[in-house]
Amino acid sequence: MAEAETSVLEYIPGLRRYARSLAGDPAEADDLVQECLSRALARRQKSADIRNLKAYLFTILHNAHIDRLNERQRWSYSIPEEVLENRLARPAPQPDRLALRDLAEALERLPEEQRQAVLLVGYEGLSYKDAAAVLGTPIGTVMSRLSRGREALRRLMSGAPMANLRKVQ
Amino acid sequence: MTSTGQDPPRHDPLAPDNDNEISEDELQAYVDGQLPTGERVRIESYLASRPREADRLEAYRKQNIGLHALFDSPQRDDALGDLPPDMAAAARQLDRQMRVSNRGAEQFRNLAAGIALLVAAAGAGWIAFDRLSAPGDPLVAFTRQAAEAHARLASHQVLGTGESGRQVVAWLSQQPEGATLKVPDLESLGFRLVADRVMPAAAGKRAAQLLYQDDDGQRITLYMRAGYASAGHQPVETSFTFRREGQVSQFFWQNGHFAYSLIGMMAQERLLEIAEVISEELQRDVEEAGNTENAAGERIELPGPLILPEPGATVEAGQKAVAEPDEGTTIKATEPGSKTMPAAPELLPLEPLPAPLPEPDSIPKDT
Repeated sequence: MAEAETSVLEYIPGLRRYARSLAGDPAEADDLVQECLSRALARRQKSADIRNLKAYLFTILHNAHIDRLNERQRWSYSIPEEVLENRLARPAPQPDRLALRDLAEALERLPEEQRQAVLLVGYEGLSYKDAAAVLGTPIGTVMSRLSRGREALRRLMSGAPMANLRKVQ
Repeated sequence: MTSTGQDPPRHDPLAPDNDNEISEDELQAYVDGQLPTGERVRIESYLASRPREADRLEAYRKQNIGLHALFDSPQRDDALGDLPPDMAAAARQLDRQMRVSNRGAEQFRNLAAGIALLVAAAGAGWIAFDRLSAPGDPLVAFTRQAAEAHARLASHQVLGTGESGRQVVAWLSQQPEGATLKVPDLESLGFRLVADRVMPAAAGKRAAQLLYQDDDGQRITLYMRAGYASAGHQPVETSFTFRREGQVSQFFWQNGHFAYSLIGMMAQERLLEIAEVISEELQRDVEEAGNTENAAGERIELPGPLILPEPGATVEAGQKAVAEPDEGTTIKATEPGSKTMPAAPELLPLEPLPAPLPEPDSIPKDT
């Protein structure tokens, strides 16, 4: 790696955040992070071979998440009510409670791929390139999922019809 | 992201239909702050005359803010102390595991330094130039000897015996200066010692070779030579230098009066990991030995039977190759060193192999 030595520990908060946003449930999210670390350990990769440690770890986390989704067959994304309440109870400054609740609900209705793109880019602040690496798709696919996901969120939040929003692969 | 020219053109139903220059991707990049500054200005002027588009993008930006409000932990960033202990432990372990190679990579880049060191070693008569096709490169000399030794032993059927390591331990006990008296135990990595031998090396020295094997039949050779720094040089410690020839990976390093080479047909990372364990084991053993026997040289005076290399004792089908100098080289078989060798010290008991290392079967498919 060209940059100064980075530490896995630095990325743990980010991984936990992303896992929380992916899984909804905090306990499940931490479980996911733990699994991500176990998988990374099993791979025995060396940092010299890892171009971008953050993207690397997020990729493993992401795949662990996908594997869980596949294992469960049916799974619906939801942010537990107590978590939501906890968030909503936080002091300002934050978007108003209603909008936040709308966003949480809209997020739950988003197709998984779009939700991932929106979270990785919009929430985690990954570059498009890194997000593409994490998702294992071309950048164009990330952009398209991002664009659709954001528009879907916007429409859901404003009560607009979802007619012309379709799931993209 | 068409702004960087990395994207293939595609049709996007959301793209504004009346723009001649600004794409949807650029607008997204504007929301995410992933645009170059110059582009920003261009898009802002574009949006100035398109309030609906500006509203749309503003809504996207608010989504980002909302996501943070939803998912950020109450304490802005989790302090490390907040980490579940298992998670912190795994993260630190992962850090260590990955850092190893930073050193390794650094060494690799500094290969020239390693060669310089070996030139000095060769100057001390430690390395035989006459074996070489490239006489000017002593690194090649040592590593090639080690590689040849590996090739000779590693391809043969080997029977593991309870006595594995005896020859090498005896040889080690002959070494006056700060030698370990144990052969490295690699059981924790799934490798078991299956054969060992002492063989002639250059300049009247002898070398020891240890062959390890894991449950999958994967073999690695640890090749050790002593004698450096006996001519008034200070013991040297170097970190790992990597070489690769075809499928064979090889690490070379030096510690005190010994030079080591670890060889195996596996990825550099895996071999380096093993090399690290070996290096740590050897170091620890030397330190332990130092605590109980202050002057290592005294050990030589202990009476004991001379233990000669016993070809075939542990190598079933490789007898003709064992302890024989290569044909066509000018190396002569050397006399055994000391006639007053101590009895072979106790070997570390060879316990049953632990369960095989967890295979990374959960490797993400798409990285």
